[in-house]
Formats: sequence, structure tokens, C-alpha cells
Amino acid sequence: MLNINTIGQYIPGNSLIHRLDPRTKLLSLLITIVLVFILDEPLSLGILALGIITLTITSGIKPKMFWQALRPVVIILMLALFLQLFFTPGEKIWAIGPLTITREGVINSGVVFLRLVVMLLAAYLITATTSPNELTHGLEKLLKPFGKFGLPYGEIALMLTIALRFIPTLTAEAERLIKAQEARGADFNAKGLTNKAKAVLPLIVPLFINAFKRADELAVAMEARGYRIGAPRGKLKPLKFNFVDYLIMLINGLIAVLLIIIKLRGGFPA
Amino acid sequence: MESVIQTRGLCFSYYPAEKERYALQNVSLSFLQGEMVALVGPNGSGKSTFFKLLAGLLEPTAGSVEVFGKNPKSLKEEGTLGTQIGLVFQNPDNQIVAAVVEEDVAFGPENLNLSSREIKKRVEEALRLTGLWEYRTRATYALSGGQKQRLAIAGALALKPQILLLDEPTSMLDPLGRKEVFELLEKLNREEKLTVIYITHYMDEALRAQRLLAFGQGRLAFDGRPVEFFAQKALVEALQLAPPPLYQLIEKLRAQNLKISDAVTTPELLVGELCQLL
Amino acid sequence: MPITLNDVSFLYNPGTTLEVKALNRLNVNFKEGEITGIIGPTGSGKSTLLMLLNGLLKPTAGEVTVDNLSTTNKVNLKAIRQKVQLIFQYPEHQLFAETVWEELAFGPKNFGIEITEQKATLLLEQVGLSEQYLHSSPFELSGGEKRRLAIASVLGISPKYLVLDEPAAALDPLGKETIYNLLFSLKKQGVTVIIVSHNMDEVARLCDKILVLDRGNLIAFGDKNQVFLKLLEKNVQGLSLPVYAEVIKLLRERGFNVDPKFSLEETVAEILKVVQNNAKH
Repeated sequence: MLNINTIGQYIPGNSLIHRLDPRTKLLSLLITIVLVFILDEPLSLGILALGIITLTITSGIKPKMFWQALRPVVIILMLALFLQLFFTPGEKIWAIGPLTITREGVINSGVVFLRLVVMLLAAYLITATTSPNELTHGLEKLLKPFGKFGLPYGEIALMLTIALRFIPTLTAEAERLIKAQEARGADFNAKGLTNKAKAVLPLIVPLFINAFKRADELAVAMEARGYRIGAPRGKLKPLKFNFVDYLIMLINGLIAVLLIIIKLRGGFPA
Repeated sequence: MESVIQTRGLCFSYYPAEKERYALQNVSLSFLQGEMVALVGPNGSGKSTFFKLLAGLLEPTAGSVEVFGKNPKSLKEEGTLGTQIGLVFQNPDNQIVAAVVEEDVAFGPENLNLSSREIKKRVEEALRLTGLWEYRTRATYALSGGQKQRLAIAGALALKPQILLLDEPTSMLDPLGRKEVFELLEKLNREEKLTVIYITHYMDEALRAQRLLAFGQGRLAFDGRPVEFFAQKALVEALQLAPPPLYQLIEKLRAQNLKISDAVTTPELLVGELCQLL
Repeated sequence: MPITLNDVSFLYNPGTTLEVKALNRLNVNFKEGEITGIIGPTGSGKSTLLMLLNGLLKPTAGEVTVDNLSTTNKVNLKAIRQKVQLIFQYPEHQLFAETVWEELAFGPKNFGIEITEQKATLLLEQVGLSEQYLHSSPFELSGGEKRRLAIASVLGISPKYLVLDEPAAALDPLGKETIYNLLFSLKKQGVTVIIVSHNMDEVARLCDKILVLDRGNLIAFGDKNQVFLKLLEKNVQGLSLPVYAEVIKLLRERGFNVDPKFSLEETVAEILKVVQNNAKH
């Protein structure tokens, strides 16, 4: 059954990572992504990867879940590796038939591999240990400073919350609608582009109309409970940084600075 | 006893220039604190228009409506209407904002910009009143219809209104949900002394109110006790309604000289009185 | 036998950790020309049963046949759907066409039936809608009118069997009456009607036969009065009785010897019998 916790692969738990403030996790993810693009040699990226892997182990999430999440991208990963490995010009190491592996090729494919793995793992780790609601709250708090420039951060966060809340409801409604139209003889397996477009009308029109009706009723209910756009709102569970959050941010910062310094000085001694 | 809502010559029309097309005409009445009132009438009779005027969703064409002495529409614009009148609507799903129960109840208090501690307190109170405290971390999607509607009531209660105004709160629920919700309303009226005003199409629910307002063709056709309303057969029929089966049974028994009091509004109460007679 | 269920079971997500047994070895024969009511607590499998009747779902075990056509055989599905029209709860949510006429024509067109303007007017008449609406948008109609339009939109297919899930849900008393009258008139025209309902008084009013489900099991199937009698003795958790039967049941629990009746007059007579008997003492 599709519910708030099956979207975005959230797996509830009580590990250190789970208990971090969502802002810490989002900011760490941001730093990781920036590093991934700045760093360009395997050793630095390898250190980064090692760090992420350590974190995933402490999160208590089974490796099987990670593999399931990464499976869809394995093909792309393999293709990228293949291209880098066999088609990068440079110092030949090994050859088989028309295919040559160069030293540069090995390094480049290592970099590509590590970049992809680090980004995917980091993103998965965050979404697996943070509920969609927490992510929304974290994002809202992080966007708050931009409110001074007119960014409606509160409204954006509320829109996300409501959208997430309605996904399972709308999905169930769509399923029911498909069955109802099929009972009337509608055929959604029609061949041909114009036929397909016509066939889909009995789905699209009611879904939209019903969604607008919902939105209308929900807006009335929200106003009845005192909601006004732009007005300041309290929070049931305000986000608060803990000692651990500061510690993690500090460690992140240190590692980032260290790796950047190493890069600026020309990389690790060979 | 205090009057909490007052209407004087209340009228509404979408076409004010055309005298025949008034959705609601000339309703003057008061609601007192602690009353439990059922609003009945066929579609187009004006009861929904009356509801919307009380709820600040429409502005009167003529006459006035005051909730605790203030105009509901301006209260709504200030964002404080919910602290005087809690509104609950027919479709449980379209009142739920959040994916988690306690977060949804918190929505109202959050809009009042209360402190986190006060919000938590109100959420707990509202959830306990509606019997949903054990469900506070549940996904709202996973609730039954009756639970969702109780959640909507909790969300309204979190703003601490003295009045609850409900539009067909049970018509989309299964029998178990209907029972849950209606018994909750009776409890809130009885124990928390809330004024409960509800539109209903179920005559057995109307029978259980203290006071019944019947609307017909834009006018107030009856204002009094439910049993007195159902006794007026011609009026009931003219409004395309029928007395609940239980009432019909009691009437026939009384016609056979069985003394059954007006307090009997459920099968259990009927059997209780019958046993005392025997 | 028109619609039969032969040892039918249904599982959702069979073979996985989310497996749910919705229906357990049902054996039912629906007779032609009757109105049958399917009742049961929420989650008893009623909706699943409805979807088996027109082949939207295929049984996990056993067989469902409609006029000797099995729903398991893909080849039969179109023919079966022409015979068995299923109307879900709140059918007004499926309206989509630009005009009422187009909405009435959509279903029949899928079965090769053309709905002329004349035919469309007749369909509107059948459900009590004015022919003025023919070229209006379906969305201009009121809630109750939309409901009737949704029902009319499948009547153009001339189904032999009409299956409806809570046909009068959330309608005002007049709206409910209109639907009841429609179902009675369809029965008179020879349509076999099967409904699911939570409203016991509605079921008592409309149905000839009643089928009771509880957690996927068939508890009773037969004549209305016999089934209510059985329910009086065998309490089904979460299922209520028509009000008069409820009163009788409570009196029996207090030790009085009363027979269950389902009409107003008979219930009154039963209660008076008790009064007179006790007055003698």
C-alpha cells in the first residue's frame, strides 16, 4: 500500500543518522555533492566513499535495501565505466583485440565510478533515514533566510506536505477510476497515438475535476482552521540542532577542507 | 443562558435584484450555549446557505448574523473564526492536511502562531477528547472513515471553539463510523458543554437533538423539539422527509395506550421503558 | 443459472508477505429478475465480490460464470461486461464528457451500440432527468442528478444484470427514494439487480434475497426474512439490523418471547402481544 513512508524509500529506525536534524543531513548532502564535482582523483573520492559507507553501516539499513535502490542505475553505471575504460586515449596498459585499456582510462573510470556511487549512496542514505515530513521541515527551515528576498518558503513547504499527504489518496482514486471506466467498456490498451489520447480522456478529465474539487474543499477547511497566506506559523516540533549535529557538521567541514587542500596542492603524493 | 449566535432578518440571494430568487429569507433566531441543534430540509431549502452564513463563507444580502457579537466573515479574515466556531464538513479526506495524525491536529494551533509547548498541549487534549491519542503517530491515510472524521473534529477542537458547526458529518461514513462520530458529538455536547449545530439527512440523528430547525424553500419552517416536528405529518411530508422508523414505532405504540416518554430516541431506550411498563 | 460462483476464493497479493484472503470458497447462485442485497461489516469482501461478477477480478480459485460464460476466459470478457454492468460507489466521479448525450453514448459505443438523440432522451426519462439536459455539461447537474446520469450512462448498454455498490450513498432522503424507485422499475423491466449496502432499512425495503459476508466467508444467503432471522440469532460483529428487528432482539435479550418481524405493523403487534400477556399477571 502506498503511503507516506513508502515514497522516497524511507525506512524508520533509531540510528544516529535517523536522529540527526534533517538540516544537518541536507547540508551534508549538499557538501557531498559539491565535493564530488570538485574532487577529481580516485584517492580523494575513495576517502569520501569510505566515509559514506561507514555512515550507511551505522544507519542500520540492510545492504540489500541499498542494492535495491541502486539496481536501476547499474546499467548506466556499467555503460559509463565501459566508455571511460576503453575509450580514453593515453598510456597503454593492456589490449585485447580492438579494445585498449589505458592508464588514464583506468583512472577516469575509477573517478566516474566513485562519483556516481558516492552521490547515489549519499542521496539514498538521506532519504532512507529521513521521513518525507522531516525533509519538508528541514527544507523549509533552510529556505527561511531567503524569505527576506520574497521566497514563500512557508507556502512551498506546506504545498509539499499536502502533496505528499494526497499521493496515496489520489493514487487509490485513479485506480478506482480505471476500474470504473473499464467496467463501462473503456479500453486503455488502444493502439495508435490519437486512439490512446482519446482513450485517456475518461481518466484525465475526472481526475482533474475531482482534484480541483478537493483542493477547493481543503482550502475552505484550512481557512476555517485559521490559515492565512504569509502569516507567521508556530511549529508542533520545532527543529533543534544537537551537539551531535554540530559535531557531524564540524567533521564534514574538516574533511571537505582537507580534501580540497589536497586537491589544490596537486593531489596525493603518487 | 447566553446567546452565542444571533441572526436578525437574515437573508441571502445570489441575485439580490430578483425578489423570487432568495436562497434564504428572513431568519431571526438565537442559539444558546450548550444547545444541540439539528438542521434539516430538502436540497435547496436554504439550510446549506444558512450554514455558510454562520460559517462566514457567505456575506448576508440583508439582515445580520453575529457569533459572540461579531461578524463571522471578519473573524474569518482575521484568522480567528476557528477559535469561536469549529467547522466540520462532509468529506473526511478533504479536511486532512497532514500525513500524520498529530501533525494534522497541530495545523490549527500552528496557524495561531502559538508556542510549541502550547501546540503540543492542545494536540494532546484534542486527541484525547476524540479518542485518537493512541493513533497520534499513525498515517492519516490509514485511518477508517469514522476515524478520519473524528480527526477533523479534533483539528477543530484544537482551536478551542465553544461552538461546533457541522455539515452532514456522517453521510459519507459506514454505520460504525456514523455511530462513532455521532456519539462523540453527543459526548462533546454533554460533557464539554459545546454548542453543537449539525446539518443531517438522517432523521434518527435529528431525533436525538434537543432542538430542530427545518428549512423549506428558503424559509425557516419549524423551530422546536424534534418530537413536535415529526408530529406535524403534513409539514414533514411537504419537506420531503419522513420520521425515523423508531419514531413511527413509538407513535403506533402510544396509539395503543402505551405510555412512552419523549426521551426515547434509541432502540435501547425504548426497550428500557417497555420493560419498566411490564 | 444466470450468475454463479463455484467454490470461489480470492487472494490479494497471493504468495507474498502482503497476502490477504478476501473471499473464502463462496458458492452462490443469483437468480434472474430479483434484487439481491449483499451486506457485511467493512472489510468483509463485498467490493471484491462485486468485481468478480463482471470479470474485473478473476478468482484465485474456483469459477465465476455469467449465463454459462466463465469470467476466467479472456475471450468472454467483452460479452460478460455487456451483460453485467458494475456501478461503483459515487459513480458521479467518473463523468467526463462535454455533454450529457456524449456521456450517455460513451459506454454503449464501447459495445458497438449507438445512442441516438431519441434513445438518449429515453434514457434520461428512465432515470427521471429532464431532456433539457441533453446538450448540457454533466457538471452543471446537481449531486443527485449526476448520480442518476452515471447510472443512465450504463443503461444504454441494456445490461441484463446491474450491480451497484451503495447506490444511495450520501444522498438526501428524496434522492434515496428516487434511486429506490429506479431500482424497482428496473426490476420490473426484468433487470437482475445486485446491490451492496450498509443501510439495513434500505436492504429490508429493496431486496428479495440477502447475502451476508463476514471476513470473506458466506454466512447466509436466502430470502430476506430468513436471513434477518438468522442474523438475529447469530450475531455478526459490526453488522446492524433494521431498527424494528433491533428492538425485537433487545426484547428477546431481556427474556421476552417475541418473534422477529420486519415491518412496522407486525412489530407493533408483537410488542402488544407481550404487553397483553404480562398484563394478565
